[in-house]
Amino acid sequence: MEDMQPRDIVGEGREYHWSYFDGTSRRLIVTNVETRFPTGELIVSQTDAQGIITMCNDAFVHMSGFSREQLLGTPHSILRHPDMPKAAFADLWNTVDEGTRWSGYVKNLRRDGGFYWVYATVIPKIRNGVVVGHTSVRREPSRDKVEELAAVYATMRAEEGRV
Amino acid sequence: MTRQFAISPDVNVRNITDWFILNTKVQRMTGEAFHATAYTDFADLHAAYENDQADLVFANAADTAMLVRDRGYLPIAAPSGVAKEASVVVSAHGSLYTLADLPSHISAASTDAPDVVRICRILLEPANLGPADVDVTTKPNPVLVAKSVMRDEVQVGFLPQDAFEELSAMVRDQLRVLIASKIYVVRNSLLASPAIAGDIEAIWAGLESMNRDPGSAELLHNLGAPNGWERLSLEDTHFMIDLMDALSQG
Repeated sequence: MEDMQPRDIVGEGREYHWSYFDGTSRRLIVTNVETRFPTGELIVSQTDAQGIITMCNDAFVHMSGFSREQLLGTPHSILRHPDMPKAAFADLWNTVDEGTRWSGYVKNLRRDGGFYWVYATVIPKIRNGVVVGHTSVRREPSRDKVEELAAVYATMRAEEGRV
Repeated sequence: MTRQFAISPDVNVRNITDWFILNTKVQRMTGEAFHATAYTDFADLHAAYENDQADLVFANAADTAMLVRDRGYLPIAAPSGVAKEASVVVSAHGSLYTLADLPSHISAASTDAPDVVRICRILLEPANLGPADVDVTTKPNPVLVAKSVMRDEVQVGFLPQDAFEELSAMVRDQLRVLIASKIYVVRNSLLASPAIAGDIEAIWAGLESMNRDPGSAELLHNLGAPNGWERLSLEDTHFMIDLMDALSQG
């Protein structure tokens, strides 16, 4: 994945050098600008078994700030926000790898450096008995839960040695 | 052997006649006898599924997921560019204007349409209302759901968007939409039971022919397919199954 570019950032950004599970890394530029989830909508996407985005709906495109062309063929982890603890994603993948659905609150990173909170459900995409990818549906989270989880994730990040 | 065309309560009751016309067309398409039955509640329709009395059905997304996954139904078509949306409504004369105005436990009225109930429950989640926080009373039809809200018997009503729009102006004026879905990907589909798998291509050819026939425009509109039918693949229905699984609360 390409580094985030200062020209795309809206607001004052702080930089991170972020390493992904597959050994790749990229520069992230993160702001404190939140985009609220569009009321009544769902963000829907599908990935292949390698986590590459194969389908996304208009709400996904709108909320991520990327174009559909930029999203398709790109790892879903392009949305990963550095405020999310690694343990949360480990729990997600351990759960779906067992063929079970995972639900949780996630802070996603936008192309412009901002963020948006979602309540995400990820289920394995099973075809002819084989897991060929995942379907992810994100809906509007309760603000009380967002505040609660932001604090929990901050504690988890601290335990991971990140502030 | 006569095949069974189950007309789901999902279809607009005002257009039942049009579904019987489609049944006649299906008989011409396939050269087989189809007997159409209009179901007015989902319990009866689900009994028909159990009793193999639904060879052809225009099913909502929740039923599509169940029929394809558990009973081996096969997809034929879906209305092109038409999505199923739902609204949570409140009394226009009440004090509820936003989700934030809702108390921590509420009462709701709904028909027994499983997809509408599922969507509306999800719409209430941002207000911290989980499955145990919403008591849903089932009503026989959308008009009685609306009246239940208007009479303050319940705090909110769950309605399919098209049913809300088709309420009389007098009834609609006494309701307020608290929140409406804009999901775009949930839709009804025309499904065939495994017993009539051999008829699917003939039915699709007939539906395609309707798409091209200007004389079928009014019928298509009344069937809820104003843009015509589009072919539905098995992958489309698997996506619907995944979506319904993801939207279930638990």
